[in-house]
Amino acid sequence: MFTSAIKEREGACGTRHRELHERYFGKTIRVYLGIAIFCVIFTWIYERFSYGESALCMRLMFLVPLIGGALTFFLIGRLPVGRIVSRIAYNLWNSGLAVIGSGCLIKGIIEISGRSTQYDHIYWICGELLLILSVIAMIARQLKKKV
Amino acid sequence: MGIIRIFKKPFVYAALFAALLIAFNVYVLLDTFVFSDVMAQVTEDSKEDSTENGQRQSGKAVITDTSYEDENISISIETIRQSDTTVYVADIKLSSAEYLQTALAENAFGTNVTQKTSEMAEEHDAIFAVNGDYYGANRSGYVIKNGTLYRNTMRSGSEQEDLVVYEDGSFGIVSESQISAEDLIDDGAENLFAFGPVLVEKGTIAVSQMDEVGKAMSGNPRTVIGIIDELHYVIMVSDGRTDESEGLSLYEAAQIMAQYDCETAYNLDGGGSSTMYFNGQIVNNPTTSGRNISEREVSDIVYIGY
Repeated sequence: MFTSAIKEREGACGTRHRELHERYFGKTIRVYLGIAIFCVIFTWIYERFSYGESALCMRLMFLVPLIGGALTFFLIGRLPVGRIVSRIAYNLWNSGLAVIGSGCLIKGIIEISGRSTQYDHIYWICGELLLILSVIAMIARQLKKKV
Repeated sequence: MGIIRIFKKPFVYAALFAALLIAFNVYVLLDTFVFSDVMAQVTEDSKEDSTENGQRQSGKAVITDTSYEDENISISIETIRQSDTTVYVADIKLSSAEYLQTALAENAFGTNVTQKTSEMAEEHDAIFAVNGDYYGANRSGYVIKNGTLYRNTMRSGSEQEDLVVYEDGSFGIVSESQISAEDLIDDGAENLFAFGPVLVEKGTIAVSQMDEVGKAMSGNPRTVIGIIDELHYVIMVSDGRTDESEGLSLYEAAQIMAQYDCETAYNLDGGGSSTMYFNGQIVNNPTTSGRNISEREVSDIVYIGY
């Protein structure tokens, strides 16, 4: 009875996780697609009021939510690794993308104004650090599960 | 454990992180555009007051609305229309390079230290003045004003070229990646302008029709400084961003300077910064958005005076 209860609980948990991830990432993917579209529109409008000036990093800003967000979670949701994305890993990954996206925005605003900045290094370093921590969190969870 | 429970609540982490990120973004923008940071005060130089020893002029100056002439300085301002834009071209002849000077906002060197061109010009008794290279917008790039080296860190994008005005009044084009600021001082650099690009070099237009500061072709107000021959300069300011004046592209600005036989011409800060001051009056129509005609505060000026 105890063994069957465990098997029943494992089966239920596995199913719940699969459903959770599909529902979870589906919403995440849609949100990131929306953010990517917003980035494109924002960049277009901002440049229109910038007297012809433009900034490459602002123009490429939409790739952060598109590739780092929507595409990444689309792939994760369809791979076995999707089951080991914990809340911590998820938050860290989103935070990393938010930092990198912010860096693109701020650097773009400053460059369009004709200035330069050295703060962009902080954005890139912190963003990459958060992404790496997210991957570490996923690996740690996977190792913990095996143990 | 209480803290962990808080973080497990929906959206708490997201809200806290978003607040932190927004706060940092705001700080970066404020530090870039608002917070002023004075790093040095301009000291009074040791030159004698020219008014007191009569160097200013031994004879009377002949002044009209568009010209000034005394035995050392001759300025004539011509207004032309080109490319649907009103352009003001000052032809300047000097007897000595000492009358071509620069001034810093609030007589201080630093970032986001700004003042109107007309105010700086009045403080320095300038006969004629235009905005400079707005060095204060950046934290890197050589800054040499009136023979004093204020900053020797190389500008990012070191392939960009600077304009050097030497002690004898001649112009030179240098790349910061190829010479140090100290070497420029040793070579006799009196003033340096770091904006660009070079519009005319060795009498030939040096920009293409596809060139533009910020990599977008656009008509804008412009400020350009050029040299024809020894102690003979041309300084041009154009209007722009208004219904009356579209503004000039860099190539159009270069064409005008070439028409005036400039050997070398260099683009200074434009847009809302472009301001020409002459005998107590603003000559052009400075505007940032095109809706209001008003001077923008800038970090430095180039002026003719004693």
